[in-house]
Amino acid sequence: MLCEECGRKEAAFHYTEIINGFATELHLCEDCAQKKGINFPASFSFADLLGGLLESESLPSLARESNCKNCGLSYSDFKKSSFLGCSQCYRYFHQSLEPLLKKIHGSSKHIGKSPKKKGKEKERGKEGYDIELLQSQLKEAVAKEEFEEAAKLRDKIKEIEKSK
Amino acid sequence: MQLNDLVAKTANWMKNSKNGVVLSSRIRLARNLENFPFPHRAGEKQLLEIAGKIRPFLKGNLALKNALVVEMDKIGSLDRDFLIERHLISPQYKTGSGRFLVIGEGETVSIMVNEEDHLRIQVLESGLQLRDCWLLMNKLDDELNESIGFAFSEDFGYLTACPTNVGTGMRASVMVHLPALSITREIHKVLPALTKLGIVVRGVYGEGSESKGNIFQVSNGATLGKQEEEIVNQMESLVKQLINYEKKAQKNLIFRQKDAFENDIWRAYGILHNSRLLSSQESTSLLSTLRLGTDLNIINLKRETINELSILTLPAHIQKIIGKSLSPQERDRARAKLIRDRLKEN
Repeated sequence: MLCEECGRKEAAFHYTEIINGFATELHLCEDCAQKKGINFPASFSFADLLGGLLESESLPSLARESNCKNCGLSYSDFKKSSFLGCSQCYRYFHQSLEPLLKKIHGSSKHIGKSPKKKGKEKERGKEGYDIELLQSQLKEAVAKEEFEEAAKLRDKIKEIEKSK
Repeated sequence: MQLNDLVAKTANWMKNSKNGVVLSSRIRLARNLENFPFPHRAGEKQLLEIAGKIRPFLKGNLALKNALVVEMDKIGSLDRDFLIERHLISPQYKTGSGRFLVIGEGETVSIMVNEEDHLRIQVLESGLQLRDCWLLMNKLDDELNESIGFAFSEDFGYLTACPTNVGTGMRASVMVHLPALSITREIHKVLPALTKLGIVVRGVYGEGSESKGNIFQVSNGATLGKQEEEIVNQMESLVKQLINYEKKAQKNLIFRQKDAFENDIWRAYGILHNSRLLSSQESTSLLSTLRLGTDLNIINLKRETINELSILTLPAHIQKIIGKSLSPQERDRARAKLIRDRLKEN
């Protein structure tokens, strides 16, 4: 789509303006947007946008940094040493680990024995989803700008929280 | 029991087995506690805390309450090598506080605390007994989990420091002696075929070690996406195939070159029976030939004797037997004497 103002460059900014109660859609190129005084943050990214959206929906705080929240290991640390830092790393790097595990083992789903739980079961939604896990997956999806996946995960978390 | 008492003992896995090709079977599980960093990222305080959670379990466990506990920061390098030779610790196991080894009766069960994972549990038996190893392991694992609680995810299973162990956390391995396949060079066809099937072949002392005396360690590669029983069954049937190949190669050797073959075996016996100096490398190689001769009833010896000699003649074992540190030449003399004496008894 070309810029509606100059009609020459590719439109890079798409937004809706409300003028006299009527919604008007505008599609502008970068130069024209600047001329019109429309300021976008310099490091504009969909990740920030979605991150903001998630905060506004008051989901429990999602870490922005891509380190394991429990032990502080970063994914690049892991890539360097090929050792994870703690069992929680598997949650925080879930999405990156999944394809890796598939490569290593030919599968990424455990079907062997599971521990007989002694104490209380982890908090789970009615479908057996682990909310914490979903949240870390959501965070990763956002970081990777996989928004379709992120939206699905967000809806799933909402649904589970509602059903509680 | 003290560490030194092990020297004179025959571990259960060294005892007579029905089958000559398979020396021993081993199941190893990697397990971690929740809420603690893995050992390589844990500080001394945390390592001690982890160790502190495991000690009470040992006291309360019927099978392990009399187990020998070896603190890694309290032993010297000779003892370390001794434990490596005995397959009780890995060469990678670091020394330091919070790291200790648990050795159960007959050395069947052992646990390394704070190696690569918080717990590395091993069940080791003689011959092809992976199923029995698993039964024993499964029970012990349940008991440990009940008392300590392991890090587990529905998707990825038991969580481990290295993603290559995640899932079942299980490595089922079998130590096989394949002299005829080695002599006939068929081994160069067999090993790549095994690798293609997702089987990992290593030397006797695991990762990075080379094969000595025609002995190979064969184990499952993948730990995720399969059930434990499935891994055990696949390994057992694969190893049975391997036994068949080796036996066929042995028959072929006898059929084609009976005299030369028997000559080799008796010569090996002669050297072992009479030498005054024997290097570790030479004795390992000759003992492999002697083992083959025993399996084929050319020489009448107990398998147990060869199993024991294979371990007792290793450098750290020799020094533990003599009770002091020895130079390589002194070791070669002591090794030759030990073998002469043992063979005379039989």
